[in-house]
Amino acid sequence: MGTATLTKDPYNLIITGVGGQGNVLASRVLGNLLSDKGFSITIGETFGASQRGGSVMSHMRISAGESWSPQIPKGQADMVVALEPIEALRVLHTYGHPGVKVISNTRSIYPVGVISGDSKYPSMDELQKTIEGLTEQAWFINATDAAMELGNPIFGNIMMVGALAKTGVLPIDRDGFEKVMLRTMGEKKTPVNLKAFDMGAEMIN
Amino acid sequence: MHKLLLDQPGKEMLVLGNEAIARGAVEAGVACATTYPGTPSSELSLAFFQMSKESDLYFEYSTNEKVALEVAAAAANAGIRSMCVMKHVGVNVAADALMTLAYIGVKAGMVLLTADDPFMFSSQNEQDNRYYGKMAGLCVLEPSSLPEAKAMATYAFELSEKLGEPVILRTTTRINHSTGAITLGELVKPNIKGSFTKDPFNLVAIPAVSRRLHTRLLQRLTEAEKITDQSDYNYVQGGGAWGIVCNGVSYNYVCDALNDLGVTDKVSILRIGFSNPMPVAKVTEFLKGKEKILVAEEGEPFMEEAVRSMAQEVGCTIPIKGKGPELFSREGEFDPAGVRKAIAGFFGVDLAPAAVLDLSDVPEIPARPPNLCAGCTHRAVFYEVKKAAENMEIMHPTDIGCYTLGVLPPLSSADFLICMGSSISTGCGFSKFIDQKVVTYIGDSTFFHSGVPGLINAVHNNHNVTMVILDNGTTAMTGHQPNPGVDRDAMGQEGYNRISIENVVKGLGVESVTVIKPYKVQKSVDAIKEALAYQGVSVIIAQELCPLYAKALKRPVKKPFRIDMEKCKDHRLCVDALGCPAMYVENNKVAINAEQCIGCAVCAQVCPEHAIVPIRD
Repeated sequence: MGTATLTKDPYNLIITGVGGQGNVLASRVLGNLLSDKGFSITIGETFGASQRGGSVMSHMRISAGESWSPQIPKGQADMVVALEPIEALRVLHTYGHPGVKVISNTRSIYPVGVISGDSKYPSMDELQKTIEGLTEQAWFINATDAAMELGNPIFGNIMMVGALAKTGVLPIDRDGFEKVMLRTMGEKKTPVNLKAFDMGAEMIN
Repeated sequence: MHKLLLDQPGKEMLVLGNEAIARGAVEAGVACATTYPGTPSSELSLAFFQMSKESDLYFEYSTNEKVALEVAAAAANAGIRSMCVMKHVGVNVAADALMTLAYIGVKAGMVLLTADDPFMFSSQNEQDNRYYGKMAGLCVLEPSSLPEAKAMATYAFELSEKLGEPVILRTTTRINHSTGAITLGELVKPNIKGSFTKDPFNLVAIPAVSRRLHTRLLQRLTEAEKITDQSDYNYVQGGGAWGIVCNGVSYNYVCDALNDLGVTDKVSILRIGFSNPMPVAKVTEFLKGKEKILVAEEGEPFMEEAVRSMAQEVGCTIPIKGKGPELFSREGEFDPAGVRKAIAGFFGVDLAPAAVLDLSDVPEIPARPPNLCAGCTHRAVFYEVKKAAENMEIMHPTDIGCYTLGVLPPLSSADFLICMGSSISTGCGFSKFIDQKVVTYIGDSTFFHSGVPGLINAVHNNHNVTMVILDNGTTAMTGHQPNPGVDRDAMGQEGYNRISIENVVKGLGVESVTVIKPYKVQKSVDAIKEALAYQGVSVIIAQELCPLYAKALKRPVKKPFRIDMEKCKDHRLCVDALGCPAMYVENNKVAINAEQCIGCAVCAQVCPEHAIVPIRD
């Protein structure tokens, strides 16, 4: 194991979004990266019906000791990475506590009830204020628009990984990320993902 | 090379639970794997499928779970180690074969993987399949972690051969779909050449034979009782006077909770990994010197009832609790915080109140149920059937697949559902006794799985029902697995025969058969009208590739659409009738999200003003 340490053990990370946004890939990349550094990683996921545009969530437990269970207890998430902003709030509702941090994408994806006008989606302004009020620290980045610059909104997930790295809450570095990309995606796809990682990192002040 | 075929003993790898199990089976030399896809087991089958292309492993996506089990049972009776993979409800389909296979037994190791789904993340019920072990008289293994899932997958084959019986490996969603590290073990060369020695008076289950085989099964179960008591998968941890009996993923929540509560030294855990038969000697030994026992298990009180009965046998009267109002529920999955609370309450440990968020000012969060994808072909069909039946009262028995999502408004096209294949059979029953016209929905894979017998029934008994077969060319819900109707050449897979649904339907004697292309709205509506007017059995086959699958096959992409604001008169038929996730309302105007729109053009055909037009470059 390297010299990397955790600010809390186990560190409880939730990655949330809407089915199809690349939640699972983001959690897999982070898991591999932190596992390479010698940490015990357990990721709990539920995919299936939720892939079809429903809310999705990956629970990641990172520990320097033994593996933890694949579910974060309610009220005990340390960091929430949200690929969609209302999903950040949904997760905070159940898993938040006063010390929780959030990185959220600012691009909304409307649920079917909102599309049909049956329910209301809060304004981004209201959402941002609410999330800031509930958390110790919150970052908002427009990952989808930035990802579109790379030609595909799907890169939003890797931008969130880059952003997470920049916040410094976890020992995630660019070299480790590159190593995982080369191993899992191959040489051809690594450069664009590195670019996405960097763009995500740049959006964190 | 497939990562699970790596011959690097000792290598650590981060994998999905399903992949850990696949590797465990490969390390046991599995040579035949069969399945019908079902969440949460699907990725296990996918791993076998991928590996079969680069190894001697024989793998098939079978027509349904019963067929899959029978193929695997034959392999195991020809001396080939086999594994059969399904979700929990799949075992119901396979149960007829399973119950008597236990009598017949196996020659080589055979493992049945049942993936249970507490909380029903993607299932129609949350039945507890440990009872299948009990009912069939077969051993059940339940892993708590990924390394253990892999180890058990290997061990299950040995156990199966020792007893001459199939072994049930039972997982839950949280094991199948969790990711963690495993260590690769040695690979063995699988035995791929089978042989069969005739032995009808042991292998043909006629009454005289079965009476003898039942006796043998019970003898084997007695043998299994000895093995479970010796098994390292049933172990005691800690040494306090409070006892917790737990299994599977619950074990992890219990350990987390004891750490959090700081009471690890006060509690002894009996972790049950070999849960049928339950280890009588180990449990009775565990009861000694305990003040009270809590049984932590998701699902039914399977272990709780066993432990209580074993306690009664030895005159032990300490409190033994599990399921109850202040303790554990039989519903859903465990939440770790809930497990902690139940343990604290039962043993009288102080539970420090957690710091919670003040949620009083939080705006209401709109629900986000799963929805049919943008451009989904099912949405078009649901709309067209509604349109065609405008002046009729209709009801829709539906089936298991993506199209079950049609239950939600605005489509509201699902009125009754029990299980795979039930659409057409319940349609037969309804049509006999109600006034509404019965229009049933079923997907292509489900049609082959268990829709065919219902259709035969409808034809033979001359029911008045319209069956809509939603043929999107793949098994979409579980991740685009093939089915007997799929063009596997398009998937780059040779050596398969494609079965035409149209020919099957016609071959069964259905006289009114209509094939529609659902993206052509008016044409489809007209054709459906005719089919609905037909007295007797009519079948409509809606043929169009699932858009996600078409994308995976790299089919040509169509231009997305936009709203021409000059023409739009704000009828909102598009949004109100279709509920496509590519559409949204902003500043009181309908708009289309070009990133999501796949250019199916269904909304453009619905709009009375022709205000929805393709985006020109």
